[in-house]
Amino acid sequence: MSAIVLQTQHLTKRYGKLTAVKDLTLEIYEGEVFGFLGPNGAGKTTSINLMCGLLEPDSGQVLVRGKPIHNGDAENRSRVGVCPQNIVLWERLTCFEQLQFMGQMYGLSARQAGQNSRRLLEELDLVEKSGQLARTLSGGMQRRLNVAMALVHDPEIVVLDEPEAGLDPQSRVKVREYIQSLARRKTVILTTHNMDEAERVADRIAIIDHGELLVLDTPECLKRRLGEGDVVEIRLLNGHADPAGVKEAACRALSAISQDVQYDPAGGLLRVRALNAVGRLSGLVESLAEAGLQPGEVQVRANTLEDVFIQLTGRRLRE
Amino acid sequence: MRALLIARKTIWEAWREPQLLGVFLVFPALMIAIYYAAFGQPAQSMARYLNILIWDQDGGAQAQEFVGAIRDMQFEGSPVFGVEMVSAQAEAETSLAEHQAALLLVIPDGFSRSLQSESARPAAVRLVGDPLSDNYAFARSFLSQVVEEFTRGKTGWTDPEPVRYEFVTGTGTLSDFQFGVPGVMVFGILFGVVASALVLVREFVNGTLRRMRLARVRSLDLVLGIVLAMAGLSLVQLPLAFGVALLFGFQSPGSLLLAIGIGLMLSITATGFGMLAAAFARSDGDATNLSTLLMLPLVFLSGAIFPMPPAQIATLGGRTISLYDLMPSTHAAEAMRRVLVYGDGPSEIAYSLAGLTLLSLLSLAVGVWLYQRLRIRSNS
Repeated sequence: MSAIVLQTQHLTKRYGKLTAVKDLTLEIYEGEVFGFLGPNGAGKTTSINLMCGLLEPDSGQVLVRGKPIHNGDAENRSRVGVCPQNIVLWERLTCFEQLQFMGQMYGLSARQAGQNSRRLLEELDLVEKSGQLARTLSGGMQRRLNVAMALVHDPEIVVLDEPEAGLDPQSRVKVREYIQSLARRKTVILTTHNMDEAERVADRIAIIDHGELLVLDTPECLKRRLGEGDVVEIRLLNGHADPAGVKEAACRALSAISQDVQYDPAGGLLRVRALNAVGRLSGLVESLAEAGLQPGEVQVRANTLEDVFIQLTGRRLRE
Repeated sequence: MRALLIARKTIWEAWREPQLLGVFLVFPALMIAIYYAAFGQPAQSMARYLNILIWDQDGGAQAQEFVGAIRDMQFEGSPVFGVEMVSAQAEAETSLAEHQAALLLVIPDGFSRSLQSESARPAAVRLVGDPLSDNYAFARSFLSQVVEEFTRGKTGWTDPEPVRYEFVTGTGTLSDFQFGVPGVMVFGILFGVVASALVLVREFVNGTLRRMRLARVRSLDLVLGIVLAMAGLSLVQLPLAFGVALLFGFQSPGSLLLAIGIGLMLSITATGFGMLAAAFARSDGDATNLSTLLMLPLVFLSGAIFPMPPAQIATLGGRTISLYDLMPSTHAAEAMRRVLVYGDGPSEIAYSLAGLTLLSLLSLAVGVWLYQRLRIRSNS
């Protein structure tokens, strides 16, 4: 088991009547990529801001290497590097100038800051743009530079808040590869509402909604919590008439195949979880037809984090 | 150290924004050129109403007629002068020292007789005043013309001008251009209010302030950085403006170094007011509007560009304290003028320097307090 680098203990933050983060307790281990998953407004960014010491909690505390980040020493707080969700750059400084400036703000010598800046520019494919003003870079390049700014002082923990937001496919791949390359070298805390992004890069995922931690586990374990098997999605052509009756008929018809049948009347979508779903597909469709339901489009897929999220919150991530 | 890095970064950014830099650096030089075009020739007055004192030692008919002519002078339908008669120079000196009167006109004994005698040279009137007063310069310009016209009309005498100038303090004669250059320099430095407000509001709006806070940059570093950057830009601006003024014939017996020192202190005021504007602004447009609103009274009520009517609020150690003395720019304009126009040294401008220093630091303290409260703390 790796050492704990960051802990939150009963962290709570309120804005008036709204509780943005509620009693958040978790531990993040050295060298892992930790994903914070949740819809917009779930409290991800507030949690992140609390973790890096930008916000003061109303109660609870954040410990970095066992020492409190709030009111702690500056060196301890410098262990965390933050890449904010928005692009935060000085428009009229060159890529190199702003990296070196930030490095020096973190207390590095000009030489060390310069060396780190050059290395990051190279790693993020920006070396040719080194002398170019930030305002003249493309959006993707600006976002990569934004990531570099969080790393210039060589922090132990890197917090990336929605690093892929607004990226073109090429830059998205570049940033994702870079995050993966950081794994084990650094502890990465990643917030996202992109399931794919989280599933591909995170070692463990915390799902947060309405400021509360719902679950925390590896992506595989989270998906396993839903049960074994695959998901079959069947769009019913006559599913709109009597939703309650449709669900009851479907459950009765499929009782021999699966006990986990859900029905979304809005889309007329029947979701059935079953072991060996592909082999039992024809029997499943026939059973429904015999029950008077008319199956239309059919899809079989593996469990996803989206399913986990839907089961936990009763809604889709982007709703 | 961090403050120096922030200052350097701010100067780099300013250097790469030609519009803002142009306005800040070139404005005073350009204004001096315009000022020269407008006022570089023999003095003209912008004043509409000036209080003057007249001591009529003569008492004759010609003297009374002369006083009447002065009272009757009009500019755009209003009298130019408010006239008060005195009976001794000592009686006038207090008013002159306190700038309640622009000048004292002394009509000498024998004035009427000299005008009646065709062969005699007209007895010269004396204009006594404090050359440090803007109103003196304006009143003198008007009166010297009146005297010349009156005596020429009576005697045909043209040369030399039958006026003797006596100063309470100071030297030589001044054109309005000569008189106006220091004020324009003050105006230029006060453009720093807009420049610093823009720099600070951008740090907040773009999120870079938050980035610096993440690096544990202290508020003091940030404030010192901006102050140093603005002072650095003023160091370029002032000699540039001074050089242009010299090109147009400005003659200064004073120390440019001392003038730069005054300018640097005033740049602290500019940064303080810029911070104040930035504390309430949420965009570039807000920052420009608010800072201009703050800058204009600092410029135009300070006497830097044109004289202000008396607004005495107290007397301290025999010195009149005016309402305008509550503004650092008033002291800066006064000190700059005394140094550049009259060649005064630090001891002669000690009062202005003290006032400027105190009020500049106070402005900065208020600006820092508000910016810290409304922007830095709210950002963390």
